[in-house]
Amino acid sequence: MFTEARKTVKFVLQYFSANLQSAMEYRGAFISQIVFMFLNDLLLLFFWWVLFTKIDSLNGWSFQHILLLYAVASGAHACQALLFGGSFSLGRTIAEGRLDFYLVLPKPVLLHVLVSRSTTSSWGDLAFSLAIFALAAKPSPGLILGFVALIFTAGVVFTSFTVLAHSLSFWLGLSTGLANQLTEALLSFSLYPEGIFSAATRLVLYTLIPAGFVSYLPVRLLQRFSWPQLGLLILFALGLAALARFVFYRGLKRYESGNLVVTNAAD
Amino acid sequence: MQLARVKGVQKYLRIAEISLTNRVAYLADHLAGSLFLILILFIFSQLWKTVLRQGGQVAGLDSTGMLWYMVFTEVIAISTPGSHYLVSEEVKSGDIAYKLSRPYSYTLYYFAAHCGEFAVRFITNLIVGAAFAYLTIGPLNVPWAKLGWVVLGFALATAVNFLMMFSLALLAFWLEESRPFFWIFQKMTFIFGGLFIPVEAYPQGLRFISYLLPLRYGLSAPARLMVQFERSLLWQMLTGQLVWITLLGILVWAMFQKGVRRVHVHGG
Repeated sequence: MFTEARKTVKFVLQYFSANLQSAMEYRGAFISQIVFMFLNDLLLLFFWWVLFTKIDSLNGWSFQHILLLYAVASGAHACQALLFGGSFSLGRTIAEGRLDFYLVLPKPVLLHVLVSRSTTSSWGDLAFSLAIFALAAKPSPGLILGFVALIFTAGVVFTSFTVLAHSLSFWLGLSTGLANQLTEALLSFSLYPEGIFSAATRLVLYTLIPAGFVSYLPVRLLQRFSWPQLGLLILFALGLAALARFVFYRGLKRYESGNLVVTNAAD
Repeated sequence: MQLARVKGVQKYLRIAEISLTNRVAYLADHLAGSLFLILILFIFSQLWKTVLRQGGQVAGLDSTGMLWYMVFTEVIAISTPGSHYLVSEEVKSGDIAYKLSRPYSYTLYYFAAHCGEFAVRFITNLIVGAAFAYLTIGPLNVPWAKLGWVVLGFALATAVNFLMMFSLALLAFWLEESRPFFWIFQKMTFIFGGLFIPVEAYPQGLRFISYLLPLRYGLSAPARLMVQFERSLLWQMLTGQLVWITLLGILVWAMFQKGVRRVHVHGG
C-alpha cells in the first residue's frame, strides 16, 4: 500500500513538472501571466481596504482576518489549478468523449484527468497567497509549512467539489454551465467573511457549498489552532474526495465513447 | 448623398437587430447565467445589512440604496458582451482579413453587434436583479420624471464601455498575449468604475482619479443617478461621457488605422 501511495505521488509530481516545463517554454508569457495575476488578486483587496476605513470590525472580522481569508482562498485555488487543473474542464472531457485517451492507459482514470492540465497564471495566485500570508501573520518557517498544508487540504476540497459538479455531465450531457456556476459559487462564498451570513446560510456553507472548509475553518485554525478543528477539516476533505471519486466512477459506467480522433493537447 | 447615409445607418441597425435576435434565441441560457448575479447580490445584501444595520450610510446611501446601486452596476458589468475577446482572437489569428474586405466598417460592425447583444442581456439581467432586490430589501424610489436622462446616461455608458474594451482588444495587433490586460482592466473597473461601492466613498485622491478616468462614466455614474438623482451629477456625468467617447473614439480610430497596416494576407 505504501509503495502504491509513493507511486501515485511520483506520478502526480511528474505531471506537475511536465506541465511546468511546458508553461515555461514561453518564458515571457509565463512571467507576465504570473505578474498580472498577482496584481489582479491584489486589486481585489481594494474594496475591503475602503470598507475598513469606514468600519472597525465586521461581526468580529478585521481587515487582518480578510487578508488571511484571501491568502487561504487564493492558495487553495492555486493548489487546485496547478496540481489538478484538469478538474476545470472535466465536464467537457466527459461530454465530448475525450476520456478514451485516459481509459486505455494503466493509471487511475480520475487522477490522470485531473493532473493532466495545469493553469499557468495560478502561480500568480500562489505567490499572492504566500505574500499576503507573510504580511498578515508574520509567520515562522514552521507556520509557513503549516499554511502550505492547510491550503493543500482546502485545495482538495475545492477539487473534489469541482469533480462532483462536473461529473453531472455523465447524467445530464454537456452541463459545464451549471458546473461552472456551482464552482463559481464556492469560490465567491470563500472570499467573503462568514460573519455576514445568517445561521441558515452558514449551515449551507458548511455542507452543500463547503466554503466553510475552504476558507473559514482554515482562517480560524490560523488564528487559534485546535486539533479537533484540524481533524474535522482533514476528515471533511478526505470524505469529500472519496465521495467525488465514488460519483465519478459511478458515472463512468454510463460513459459512452464518441470514437473521436483528437490530439490530446492543452487547449 | 443623404439616402446613402441613411442606408449606411440602416446597415448597422440591421446588424444590431441580428445580434439581438440571436441572443433572444438563447434566452434560457441568459437566465441561467443570471444565477451568478443572484449569488453576488445575495452576498452583498448580507454584507450591507451587516455593515449598515443601524441606519448607517456609505457615500450617502443606506443598505437599500447600496443594494439597488449594485443591481445597476452589476447588471451593466455582466451584460457587457465579451466582444473584445472575439476581436482580439480575430486579430491574432488573422481572421480579421476576411472581415476587412466586407462592405462595412469593422469597428461599427462590432459596435452594432455589441449594442444588440447588450440590450437583451441588460433587460433579462435587470429583471432578475430588480426582482431579487425588491424581494429581499424593498422597492427603489425610481425617478420616473427624469428617467429619460438616466436612460441616456446608460446608453452613453454602453458606448464608453465598448470603446474602452475595443481599444484594449486592438492591442493584439502589437502584443502576443493581451488577456492579462483584460484581467487588470476588469479589476480597474471594480475600483475606479465603482462596481461594489460608489467612488464617492473613496479617499479624496482616489476619488479624484476615478473622476478623471472613463471607467466611472461606464458604470458607477449612471447607476448612482438611477438610485439618487441629482442634477449636478447628471451634467457632470454627461460631460464626462461625451468627452471620453470623443477621446476613445479617436484612440480606436488611430489604433485601427495603424494596426491594420500590420496585417499580411497570404491567401489560402
